[in-house]
Amino acid sequence: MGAMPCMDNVNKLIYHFAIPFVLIAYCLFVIYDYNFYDGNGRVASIEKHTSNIKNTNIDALILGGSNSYLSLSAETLSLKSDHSWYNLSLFSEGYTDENYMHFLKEEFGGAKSKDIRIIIYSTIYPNREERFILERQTGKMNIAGRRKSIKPNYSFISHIRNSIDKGMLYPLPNKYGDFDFNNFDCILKGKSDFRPVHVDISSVWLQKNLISIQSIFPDAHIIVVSPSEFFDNPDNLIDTTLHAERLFHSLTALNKKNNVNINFSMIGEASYNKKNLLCDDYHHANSKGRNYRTQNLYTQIIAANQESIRYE
Amino acid sequence: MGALLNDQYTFELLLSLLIPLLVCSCLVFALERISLSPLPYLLFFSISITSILGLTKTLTGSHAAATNIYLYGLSFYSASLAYLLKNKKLSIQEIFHISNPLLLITGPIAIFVKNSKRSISKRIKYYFPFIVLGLFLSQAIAPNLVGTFFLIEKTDAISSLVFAMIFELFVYANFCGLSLLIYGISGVMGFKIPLNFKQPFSSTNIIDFWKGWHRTLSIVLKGLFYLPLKKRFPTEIALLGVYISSAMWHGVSFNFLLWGLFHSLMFILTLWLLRRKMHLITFPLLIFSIIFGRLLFADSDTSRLISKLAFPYDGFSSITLLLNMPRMTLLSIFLIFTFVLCEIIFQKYSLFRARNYKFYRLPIVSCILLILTLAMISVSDGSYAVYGQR
Repeated sequence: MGAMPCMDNVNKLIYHFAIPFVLIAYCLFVIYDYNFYDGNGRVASIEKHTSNIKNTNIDALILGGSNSYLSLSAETLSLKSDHSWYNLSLFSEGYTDENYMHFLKEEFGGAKSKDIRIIIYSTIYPNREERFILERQTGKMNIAGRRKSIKPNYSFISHIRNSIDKGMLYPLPNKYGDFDFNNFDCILKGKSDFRPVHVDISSVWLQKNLISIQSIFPDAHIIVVSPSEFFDNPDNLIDTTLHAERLFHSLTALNKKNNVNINFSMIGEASYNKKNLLCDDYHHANSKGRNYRTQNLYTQIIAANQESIRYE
Repeated sequence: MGALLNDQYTFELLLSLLIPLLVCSCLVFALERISLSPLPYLLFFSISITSILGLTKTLTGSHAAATNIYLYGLSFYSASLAYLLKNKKLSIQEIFHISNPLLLITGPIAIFVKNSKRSISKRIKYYFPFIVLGLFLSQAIAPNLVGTFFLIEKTDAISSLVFAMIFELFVYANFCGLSLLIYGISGVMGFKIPLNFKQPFSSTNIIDFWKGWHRTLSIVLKGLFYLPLKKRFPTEIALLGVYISSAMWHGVSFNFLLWGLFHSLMFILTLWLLRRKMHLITFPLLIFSIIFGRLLFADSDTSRLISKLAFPYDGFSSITLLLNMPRMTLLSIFLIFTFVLCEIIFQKYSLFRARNYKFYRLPIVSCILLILTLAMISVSDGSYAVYGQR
C-alpha cells in the first residue's frame, strides 16, 4: 500500500516537471535548428561557390542538381575543351525553381552573364515522379532546403549523429565547383527511382526553366542532359535515352506551339549497370564514375556538334 | 514474344473490365433479390464507381497524394452518409458532424461524436497520453517507414513477404496513430469519439483482430451489409457479402477481390475452428491472414501481383537492401515491431487486457514516447495520410 503515494508523486513529477521540460527543450531545439541550419554543409557549399565565382573567369557552366554536382566534372571538361568550365550545380537544384534562378541571377548579374557561351543543364526531375516537379514550383524551402515548420529540419537524433560522425557532412566544392570526393565516404544507400513523369508535363516545366536560364545567359547554348543512372536490371538500360528522346520531341513541339525561341539541344545519356561507379545513390557517381560519365558526355557533345543537333 | 505480351495485355484488360462488371452486377442482383432500398448502397459504392471510372485510386495505402482533389474524402463521406441514411439518422446536424475535415482521415468516425461532460483539466489528463501515442506512431514512426516502399516492386517470395510485413506495420502506425491523435485532440476539445483501433494485435484469432481494427468502418459494414444479409442467408454468405463490399469500397480491382475472398474465407475458417475448440490453430492462422492479406491488399498492379503469387525464390537480397536503409528507418522498424510484439505477448496482462493502450498511457511510458517522438521527428519526413484522401 505504501507504494501507491510514492507512485502518485512520481506521476505528478512527470506531469508537472518532466513533460513540460521536454516540451520547452523541444521548442528551444526547433529555434536552434532553424537559426543554425546548414543542411549538412549545403549552406557552406553555396557560400564557397559565391567566393569561387568572384575570382574566376568562366565561359561555360554545368547546372543541375546532385546528379551533376557529384557526377560531372568542370575540371575535366576544362582540360578537354577550350572553355573555362564551372560546376554550379546545387543539391536538389536549390529545392525550388525560384531559388535556383534567383541564385544564378545573383551570381551572374550584369555583364558577367554574357561571357557564358555554353551551359550543360543536367536535370533528373523529368525522370522522377510528378510530385517532385510540383514541389519545385510550389515548395517553400530556401535554397539549402530549410523549411519553416514546428518540426525541425533535422531530427534531434540526426543532429547528434552529425556531431559525432563528421563524414555525414558534405565537403566544400573545389575551385572548379566540383564535388570533393577526398573528404566524403561513398556508402551506397540509394535505390532505383527512375519513374519518369509524362513528357507533356515535364516539357512544360523544362520549357519554363530553359526560358529563365536563357534570359539570364542570353548568349549561351544550353545542352539539356537527361542524366545516366544505375540500373539493377540491364533490360532497363534503354529507358533513359528513349525517354529523353520523347521529351526532346515534346519540348520542340511545345516551343513551336508557343513560339518560344531557346538556343538548346538535348542529350540522353545511356545508363549503366556497374555498381563500382556509384557513390551514395543510383544517380550519384563516385570519383571513378564521374570520370566515366564526364568522358562519355564529352564524347556525346562532340558527336552532337558534328551532327549539328541531337535527335533532329 | 510480342504476341505473348499482347495476349497478356488483352487478358489483363479483359480481367480489369470484367471484374467490376461482374461484381456490380452481382451486387445489384443481390440487392434486388432481398428488396433493400438501394440509395444507401449506391452512396456507399459511389467510391467504387469513381474507382472504375479512374477518377480515384484504389485504397492500397501506398499512394502519397490524392488523385482528385474534388473527390477528396469521398469514401468516408459516402460511407457515413450511407450508414446514417440506412439507420434513418440523417439530419443537418449529422451532416455538419461528418463534414469535419479533422475526422476525414480517420474513417467514418464522425457519425459517433458525443459531447464530453468531463472538466477541461480531467480531459487533458485523460486524453493527453493518447495525443502523445498518436504523435509517436503517426509522426515519428510511420514517415520513416515510407522509405521501404520500393520493395513493392520486387516480386520474389522473400521480398514480397518482407514488404507485406513492413507495410502492415506502416499502415498500423500511420492509420492508428492518426486515429489516436484525432481521438485525443477531440477529447481535449470536449468531443467524445470512439477509439478507431483497439490494440488489434492483442488477439488470438482473426475475428478478434477485426474487432480492434478500423472499428468505425466495421460498424458501418455491419449495419449496411451483415445484419440485412444475416436475416436472409447463412452467416457464411453474410460474411462473404461484407468482405466483398468492403473490398469494392477499397477499390474495384483484382487484388481487392482476392483480398475480400481471402479474408472472408479466413473468418469462416476461424469460426469453424473456434466452434470445435481448436484454439491452437487460430493464432498461426491469424499471423498468416494478416501477412498474406496485406500482400494482396497492398498491390493493385495485377500482373505484378500474379508474379508475386507464384512465390519465386530469389535469395535474400531484399534483407540486404533493408539493412542498408537509413538508421532512422531501421530504428522505426525496430520500435514498431517491439510495439506490436508487446501487444501480442502481454495481451493477458491487466495493462493490455482492456485493449485501450493503457500501458502506453502510463505517465512514465508517455514521457518516454514523447522524448522519442520529439527526438525522431523532422520536417523532411513529412506526413503521410493513408485513407481519407483517395
